[in-house]
Parts: sequence; C-alpha cells; structure tokens
Amino acid sequence: MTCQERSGFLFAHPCDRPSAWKCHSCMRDICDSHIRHIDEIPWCVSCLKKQNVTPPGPRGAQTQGYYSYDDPYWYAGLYLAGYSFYDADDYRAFDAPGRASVGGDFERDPGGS
Amino acid sequence: MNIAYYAMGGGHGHAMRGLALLSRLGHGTLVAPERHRAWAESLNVVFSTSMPDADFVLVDTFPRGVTGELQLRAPAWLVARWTRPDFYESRRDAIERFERVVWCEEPSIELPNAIRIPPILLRPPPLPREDARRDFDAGSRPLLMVLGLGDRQRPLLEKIARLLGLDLRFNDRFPAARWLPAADVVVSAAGYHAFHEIEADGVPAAYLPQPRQYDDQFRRAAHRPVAHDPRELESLIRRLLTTPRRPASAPDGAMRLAELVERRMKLGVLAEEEVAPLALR
Repeated sequence: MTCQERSGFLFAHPCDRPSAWKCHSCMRDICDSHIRHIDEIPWCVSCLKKQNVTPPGPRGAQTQGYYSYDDPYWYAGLYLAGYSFYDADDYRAFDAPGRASVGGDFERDPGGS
Repeated sequence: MNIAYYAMGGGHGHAMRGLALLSRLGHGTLVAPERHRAWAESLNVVFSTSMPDADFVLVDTFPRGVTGELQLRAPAWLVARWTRPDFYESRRDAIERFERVVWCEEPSIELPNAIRIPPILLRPPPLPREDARRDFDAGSRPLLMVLGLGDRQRPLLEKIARLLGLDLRFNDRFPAARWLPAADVVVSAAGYHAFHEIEADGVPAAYLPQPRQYDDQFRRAAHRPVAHDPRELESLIRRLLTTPRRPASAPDGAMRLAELVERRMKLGVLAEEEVAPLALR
C-alpha cells in the first residue's frame, strides 16, 4: 500500500511512498513523512490542517523550529487558501493534446469542424 | 432535382451543417461517416456513406474531399468555415471547380464568387427549462453543462463542481442545443457548432479552446470568456453563475442557405443580385 497523501511544491501529486500508518481521522494509509503524532495518535498533515493545528515535525526530525520544504503542511491547499487545490493533472487538462491531433493531414483534423 | 451534401470529416460540424440545411430543405442526401446515420434518421434526412448521383452538390470544408477522393460531376458549391488561411490558399485549384463559395464564418481568404451567411446551425427548438433539467436529473443546485469538450477535462470539472456546489452534466444528447436551457453555465471547447449554438442560445459560457491544425478555436472564442488554467476556469464559472442569460438570438444561416439552394434549383446559376439579399453584410 502506498501513501495516500499528496505532495509536491508547485503541483500536488500522489506521494507514492510506502505507507506505514493509518490516519486516526480520515483512515487513509499514510507514510512516515506525512504522518504526525499528537499524544501518540497518528494524524495525516491534511487532517491537521483542516483542524488548523500546526503539526510537530515527523518523528526523527528536530521538533524545535522544525521546517521542511517537503512538509505538505506548508504548501497544501488549505494552508495557502486554495493555491494548490489544483494539481498537475488539472493543469495538464489545458495542455495541447497529443501531437496526432495537431499534425498530419487537415482532413484528419478532428476538431472544430 | 437530387441534392447531396458532402459532410465527410472527423468532427461533428460537417454533418451538423449538412443536417441543418437538408432538414430545412426537406429533401437531399447527407453523405457522412456511418456514425452520423442515427442523427440523420432522427431528422428524416436521407443518409449515405457514399456519394449518390446528384444534380447539385454542396461540399463542406474540404474542396477535394476528405481524402482527395471527390470527383464532382455536378454543379457544386463549397460551404466553408474559417480555417487557417494556408488551407484554402493551397487548394485554390480545387476551389475553382466550385460555382460558389458560401462562408458560414468570417472568410479566411478572398475567394471568387464567395458570399458570407450567418453560422449554419441546427438550432433545434429548445425545451422548456424545467423539462430540460428533468431530463438531466438536475436537482435544485445550479447546473454546469459540458458540451463539445473531450473527456480530458472531466476530473477538473468534477473538482470545480464539487467546490462550487454545482450539478455537473455532460450533454451528449442529440441535438444537444435542445437541452441548453437546463444549464446555468456551459463549458465548451470552441468547436464550430457548439460555440455558435451556445452563443445563439445566450447561456453564459466559459470556453477552453483546443489547438487544431487548421481550425482556430482560440480565434473563434477570442472575444468570449476563455480560461487558460484551472483557477481561471473556476473564477470564470463563479462569475458566470451570476451573469444573466442573454436573450436567444442569431439569424438562421441554415435557412438562408436553404433559400439560396432553392433559388439555385429554380433559376440555375445565380447572379450576384439574386444572392446579395441573403448575404450577411
């Protein structure tokens, strides 16, 4: 089972690390990097964010002054008021489709006919 | 007199223009890919996948035929929509065989014996809004309708609909424009038929133009609300939800073409003064 949290700085995408925990709140499978423990209870960072709780660092990280570019808490959608609500797949919907439809004979051009 | 409308081609637009004309004329054969047979039959239009013997032919967009196969043995008109100019420029020799060119969008190049008419659209009678919404099983929430857009944007549109609390429906019905009254906002690429049907209906719409080799959907939608990324699409839809619907309008280009064809049938080759009153100025 892989982690069901999404990560990435500019665009969120599936984490894909092996999961090691289940979030106490949403019951998703979550990896070591995306789980936080509060009173020994595992929470994913998304659920903490929904509750507006600033999480401790992941286990093993130095908790005092903890900050990591890789911590989704600092860039996921709810923190930046929707900035990352859309992910790479959503942006790809605006990319040009495969070259087949923009090359070749016009007579095979399927669109806008 | 036997009329044939040659509508071979990849998209729906060729066949839709042919159906719009022939359903108004009340006779003639639509020559189109097999997948359009059911549409033709639903409108009582004679359908064929090969060119029948005809006394008069209308050829949609491709002056040489879709694979260069077209052998014209009867007088013919070319029905042209806007394309990138080099498409028709490089086919001038084939276009010279046509008695007349009928532009149903802004002409992309100067051609002899050309006239322009309003967009050729099916313009089916719209359903009352409540009936149209019932057909889409719409609840009390605003309805975001997707028309003439591929599946690639589906996950994004589902996400936006969830965020804004909208019912999302993909309109794959025929003729789709009949159900436009169900929509509060429409999202579409800017293909010929969907674009002009939506604009004629007046429903608020956001466009996601798609790149094509010779068609130019970005140009077609240049003066209408266009989204270039997910956030822009979301904000456009938010705005359009509070934008009032324009009254339905647009002159009937298909009816004008039908009148022109009937004059041609009655009078033979038409002089300019017989064509001019029906042309768009």
